[in-house]
Amino acid sequence: MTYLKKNKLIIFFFILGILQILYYWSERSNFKLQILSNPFKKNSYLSYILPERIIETRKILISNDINKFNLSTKLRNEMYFFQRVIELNYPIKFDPKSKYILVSLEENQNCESIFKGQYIELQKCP
Amino acid sequence: MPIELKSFNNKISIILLLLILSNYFFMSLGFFNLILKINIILFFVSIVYFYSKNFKNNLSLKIYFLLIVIICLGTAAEGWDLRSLYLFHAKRIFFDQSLYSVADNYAVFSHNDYPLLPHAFSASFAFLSGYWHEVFPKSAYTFFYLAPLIFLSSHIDKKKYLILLSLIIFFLGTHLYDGGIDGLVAIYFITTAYCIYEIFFSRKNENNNPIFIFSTFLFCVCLSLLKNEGFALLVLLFLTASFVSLFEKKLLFNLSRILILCFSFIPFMVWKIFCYKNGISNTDFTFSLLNENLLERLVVLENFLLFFQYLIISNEKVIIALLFFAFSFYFNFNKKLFYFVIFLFSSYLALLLIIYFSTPYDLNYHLETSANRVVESLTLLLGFFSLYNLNILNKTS
Repeated sequence: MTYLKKNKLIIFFFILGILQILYYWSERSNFKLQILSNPFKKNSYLSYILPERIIETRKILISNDINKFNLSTKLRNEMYFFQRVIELNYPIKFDPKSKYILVSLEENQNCESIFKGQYIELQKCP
Repeated sequence: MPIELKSFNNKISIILLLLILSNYFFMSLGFFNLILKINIILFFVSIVYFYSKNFKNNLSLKIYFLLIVIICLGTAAEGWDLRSLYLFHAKRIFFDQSLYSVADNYAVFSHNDYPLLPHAFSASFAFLSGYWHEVFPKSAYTFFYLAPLIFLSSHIDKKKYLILLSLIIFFLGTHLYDGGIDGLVAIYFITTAYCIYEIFFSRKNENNNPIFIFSTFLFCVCLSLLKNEGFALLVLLFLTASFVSLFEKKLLFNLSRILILCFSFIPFMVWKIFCYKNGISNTDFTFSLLNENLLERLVVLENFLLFFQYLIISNEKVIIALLFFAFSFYFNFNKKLFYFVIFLFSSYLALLLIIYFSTPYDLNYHLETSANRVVESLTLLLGFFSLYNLNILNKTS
């Protein structure tokens, strides 16, 4: 009891710090026990944070053994998509001169279709 | 705090800083092999040693930090800047096995001119596991906080240190675990500011020894290599130290120490020369933009209102920090410390004004997307020195 009385300021601020961390944990983070159980997982739990059509580009490029790719003008103009696709697929690089081009399914691109995914298509232009 | 514990904390923080910098040094020389893995294993061993030796020493930091690391390792890499800039740089270093692959200026949006110290550290986490993934390398940014936090614990008494930890958690918030660099800039900035103040103005004998000056040098190097803003803050710190010395008519007395610490600019300058030689420049700020946008925006009053609204008025953390500062200095007016903080605060605010007014983007958009982050260094500066000022009050009373 004497210890508590003597150190009430220390205890108050210690609890305040803990409460703040708990607040950030519960309200300001997308904490998942599954991620904590294996933070070394190769897929980096991308499905929690990235849209499926961005993750699909990686599957398409890897399965078709592509080293450099291009993006349709429409996809290039979507800033979020553009940046995510470039960083996610590295070391496969974006190259505007590449004949392999990723297009979204609703686009009309008159090149040879190589692979059609659920959202994205890989085409080979001459 | 007993002298032995203080000395132990100092040594641990110096070891952690040296291991972070040696990691960068090895990478800059092209050593991407066993030596890098040993370096990072030593880093973890040092942390385990810090936790296990004198367990009760710094217990609050140990508990807080453990909880923050748990949150960090339980969240995926989500933030825009984290993915587009920081982890992307780490990924490039990992796959290209080079710090210099940015010379191709690939993916301009990733700001290839940014210094690579924290990203090299993050890449080494991936090297340790042998393959690229995101969650564990993201935690490198959290581990980067440890050295200054341990260092500060040995210079502030226990009660004030607990308040400081609460302030840091409050002001930096999610940055502690989400891989944001601005929180790191803020914490390294206040630690360096504290060291500079102690060396040049406080002049306590215990803080004017070669080990303390060496620690300051290491913090200066780290601050400058975190981000461009870090270097700008470092220059402001040196300018402030010089001005206050001049004001006190002690510039000549302090000149040798200022010059010694100026050597900490070298790694950043080397990096900038490399960028300049390879045509890599900052996309947000160039001297041509200074002419085009700055002068045009300076004559419009609404721009100033917008600037102060985003950076101060509508930011509750800045308001709280300012109130705390006023409260602290109302009760104990330490003239030297007051001018030191005010000069730093206003000069950084002026620098931010120049940068924001020169932006090639819409001013409102740029402020809206970044003001909250860049102002963290200012809020923590006010918060830390307000507490430090009360610390003086405690000691003198």
